[in-house]
Amino acid sequence: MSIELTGVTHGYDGTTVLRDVDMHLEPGVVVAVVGPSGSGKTTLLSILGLLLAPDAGMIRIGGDDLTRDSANRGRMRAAGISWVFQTANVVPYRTAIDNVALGLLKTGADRTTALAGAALALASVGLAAKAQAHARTLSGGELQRICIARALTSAPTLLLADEPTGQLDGPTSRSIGKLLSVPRPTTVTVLATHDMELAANCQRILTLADGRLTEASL
Amino acid sequence: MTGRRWRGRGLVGEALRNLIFAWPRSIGMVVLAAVLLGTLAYVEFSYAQRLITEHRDLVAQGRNVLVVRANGGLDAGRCDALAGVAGVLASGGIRPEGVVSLRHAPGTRFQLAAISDGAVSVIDPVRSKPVQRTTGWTLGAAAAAELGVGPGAVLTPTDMPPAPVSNILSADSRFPELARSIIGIVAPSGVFEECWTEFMPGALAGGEGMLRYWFREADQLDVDGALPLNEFSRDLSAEFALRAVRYLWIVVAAVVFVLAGVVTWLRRTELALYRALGVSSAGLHLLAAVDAIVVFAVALVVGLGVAMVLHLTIAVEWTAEVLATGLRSSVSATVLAAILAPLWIHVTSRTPIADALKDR
Repeated sequence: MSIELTGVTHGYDGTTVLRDVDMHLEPGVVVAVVGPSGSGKTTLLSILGLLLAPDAGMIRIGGDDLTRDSANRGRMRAAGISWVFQTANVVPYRTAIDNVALGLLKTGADRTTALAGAALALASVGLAAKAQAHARTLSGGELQRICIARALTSAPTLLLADEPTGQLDGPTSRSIGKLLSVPRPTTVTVLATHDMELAANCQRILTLADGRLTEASL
Repeated sequence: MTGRRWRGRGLVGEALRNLIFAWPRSIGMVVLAAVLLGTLAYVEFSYAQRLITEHRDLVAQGRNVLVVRANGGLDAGRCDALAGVAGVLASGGIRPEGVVSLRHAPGTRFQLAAISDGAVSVIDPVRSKPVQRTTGWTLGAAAAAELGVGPGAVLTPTDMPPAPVSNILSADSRFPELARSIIGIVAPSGVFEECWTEFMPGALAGGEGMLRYWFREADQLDVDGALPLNEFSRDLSAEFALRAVRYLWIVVAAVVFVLAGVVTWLRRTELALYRALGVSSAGLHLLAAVDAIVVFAVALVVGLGVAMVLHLTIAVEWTAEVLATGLRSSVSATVLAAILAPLWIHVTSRTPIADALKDR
């Protein structure tokens, strides 16, 4: 499914963060969004991920206008969008594998299937040994990898990752970066990052500055 | 747009697993709710028990007994016939017959009375077997103790032939004046000075009017309670219905609801994560409802159990009415709190997901 933003504008407390942003992304593409801190990368991803409704403009996914349609926004969040948040958002008292399984349970999978998928996803981020560890006992980097595993466990229409390698050490950062930047035929992947090495692995780099989105040459 | 999303069963499973994994929070919530619900049950148990005990004591003392007197006495046959009237438990008459002394206790004077066997049923309701009309004497308990005699002993009142003691009458609770009497159980004939009638619970209200009509031909009829009606005006049923704690269950439900709100607020980031993972508003309500139902149900069982044990250590007796009162209030509070608790989801869902995740 294609993702399309048209004339998206958004701001907080009178400050405009995004100005008239247009974007068209086709399945299979991996895009890096770069820009200085506070430039609106997270806001852009929140609008793409249907967590935030823009002040103006339109977002279409697969041709459907999801700018304000709350019922379908929720359905798309469950069935088609996977997130890796800047802050590692997990259910703190659940195990690593339970947290990862949420990525499949949200698509309607039964628990057995979800746990099997979660085990594979945990292995792919190098956390197979920590499957039964409670989230609150894990380090920030490990939690971030759980979020990545949760996002990868389903085959989303849209994979959004906000500073996914920000809390990881060098070697782990590189391996996770590679994992995320692999093109997936049915998935649009958007990574917001300061990590230019990760951005360089992506097919397209978009720069966000002063609320405007421009394509950077690789 | 169509799409796969959370199954209801999956969400119920999530809610249950969250309860288990977050056991310190779950147990804390159960304990707090159990204290509130248990206190409510205990207060209701105690109040109901006190009223029921008071009511029973009053009934035992003759709360439902009316005594009729008239100038020139009352027809004994009509008094006795009252026992067959609907709403009447027992009826019988009493006739004082002066004082008497005994040959083997000269100088000590006792009341002499003639009463019908129906009156014995009214005056001594806990008697295990009915008295028999015999030629022997029935002694009031105090008179028997004073004389040191029991059934079978022979009494010889002055100017009367000797006769054995047949019965001991316990009249302390309803007619203590009769306790120091030597009594003859007589057939309902002639005239009685007083007619004692005990009504079934609930029939007392119409009793006075009925008795006035029943003895309408008597002169200067006076109807009063064995416990004086004009001095005792408490209506225990009304007191119970209007008790100050009758709305306590709503207060307890409100406090438990607020408690649930605090817990929901503390979980707002976790709930925002579920929202970000596509759990709908209905799904979040389901999560909260399962949480509330399980926690409050366990709290109800624990709270009620503790309240019952505490009450049993204090209460002399345990009745179904008392149990029902405590159960009704605490179950009502639990159900109300469980219905309301998921509404907190509306409050937490007002914050945009991105803000709630602190990820903007």
